Amino acid sequence: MNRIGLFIWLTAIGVNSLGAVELVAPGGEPGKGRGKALNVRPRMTHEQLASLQRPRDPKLKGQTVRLSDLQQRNLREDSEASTKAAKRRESLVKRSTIVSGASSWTIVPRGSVLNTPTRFKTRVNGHRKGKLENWRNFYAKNASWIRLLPVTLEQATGQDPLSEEYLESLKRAGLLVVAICQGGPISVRLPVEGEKPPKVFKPVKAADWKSPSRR
Amino acid sequence: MKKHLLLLVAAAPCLVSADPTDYVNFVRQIQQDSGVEWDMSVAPNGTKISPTGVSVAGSFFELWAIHNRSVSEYRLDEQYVTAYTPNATVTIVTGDPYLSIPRTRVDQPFQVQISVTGLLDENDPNYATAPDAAKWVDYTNYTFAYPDGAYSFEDVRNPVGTVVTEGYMEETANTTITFSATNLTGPDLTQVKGEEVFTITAQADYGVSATILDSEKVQIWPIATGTISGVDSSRYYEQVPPVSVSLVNLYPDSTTYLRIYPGPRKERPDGTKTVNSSFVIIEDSIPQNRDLIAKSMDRYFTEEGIHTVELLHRTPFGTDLLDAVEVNVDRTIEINGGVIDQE
Repeated sequence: MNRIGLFIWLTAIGVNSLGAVELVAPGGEPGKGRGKALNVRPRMTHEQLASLQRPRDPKLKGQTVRLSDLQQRNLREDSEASTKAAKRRESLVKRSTIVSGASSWTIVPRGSVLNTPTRFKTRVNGHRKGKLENWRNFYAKNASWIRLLPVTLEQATGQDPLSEEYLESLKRAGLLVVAICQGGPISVRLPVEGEKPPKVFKPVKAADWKSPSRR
Repeated sequence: MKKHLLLLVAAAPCLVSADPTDYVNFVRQIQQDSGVEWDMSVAPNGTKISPTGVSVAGSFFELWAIHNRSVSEYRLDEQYVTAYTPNATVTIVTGDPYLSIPRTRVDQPFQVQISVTGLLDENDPNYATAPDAAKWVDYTNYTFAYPDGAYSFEDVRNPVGTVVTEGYMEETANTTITFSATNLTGPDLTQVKGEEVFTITAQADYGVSATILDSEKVQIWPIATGTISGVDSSRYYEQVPPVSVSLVNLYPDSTTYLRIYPGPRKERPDGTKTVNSSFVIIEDSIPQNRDLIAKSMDRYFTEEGIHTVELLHRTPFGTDLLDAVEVNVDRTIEINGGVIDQE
């Protein structure tokens, strides 16, 4: 009887203590029971953090930057180039050569008219008659007095310049001569005495654009 | 191989009575190295091949619409096309899986993964004469500290930051830079907070200003501080009073709580008990401060003798000990007196 009484008494204590606290095994969370020991580390100090930091470049000390500079798409302005670009953007007509016919006119890049006979001087950069047309339609109506001169890219860029004699020979026909490349008027860099032709990069094949040669 | 140039819809500008056929469209290509200009006549919609091709120096392509009578000119679009296309992506990896923005803590390592593509290789035949923009990109790291008491730049007009690194990357490659801790500075590094910005920029070239290829930022938060008060380690308590806890800069994703174990402070104690009423759970975008009072502490002290109460702070980076106090419990009743025998 005594043993039974003791057993009941112990059980009662056990039941009573269930609601008071949750016994947590070392390293476990409440209710999770036994698990790995919880790894608790002391809070890091300023000195410990300082030793972890990468040393800074002393040359950059004191240099500051504004957050707004980083948020703009264009970080630095190349003033000379952007002035040129701004001028270019003002007007297409102003930087082109105007060719006028009887009832319409068109524009071609400056430098694409290689020969202007005297009798046609008023038709080039002169008074504009009628409506603006694209080059193709204009040429179709005015083919009788315009000669198209197909040139290669090397001739246009001045790498393989047109000779003086050749340019002279163009005058003989007495027609307005316009340099074209694949149907569109193209400006031609004529050789200037004492000046070298500009350095021109070779066009790159489309297949090579995004994947430069591997090492 | 011919290069295709895809044209935009050269729709007429939005004039009330304008008929699209009253406008003449021009696409002009301007080669940057030679200055040669070339016109192609274009219909309102379509594609055209650029016969002059594009080199590493690049070409500008301009799309204009000009009214055939009034000669009003509209520059509809402009594109700069080169044969090299530097591109970069920046990715920041931290120990916090938070999705909205990369964030971490001052004492935690993080990685910056940079991928650069489209630069010319040294062995490329065009390398010697190619412009700088085809050969390398700039890499910068800046830090911006949040103002005291603030967790953002909301009230700051144009924050000023410091330059940590300015360098360059010159090959098409993937690079990973690992930082063991933040690059922010301050008198107490455990308390600094702010943002670190990593940027890759292409060089200025042929009239195109330098452009940012990619930029990423990571938020840096301080380490929390916490103090336990209300109990005195030098006293002996028959009944342990409620304990006050003051918490500052709790990490935005954290759980802070008290735990108790018998004996003096040790690294791997046995018999630990967690105080259920002490839990502070934060799931936020910025650090938080909290004050709380843990009542009914006495029932956790079932034995007499010395106990340790610890304040623990759990984050995605692990668990830190913010504070600890020792509590002496003495429940023995001492009676000063004697037994008097009356006869």
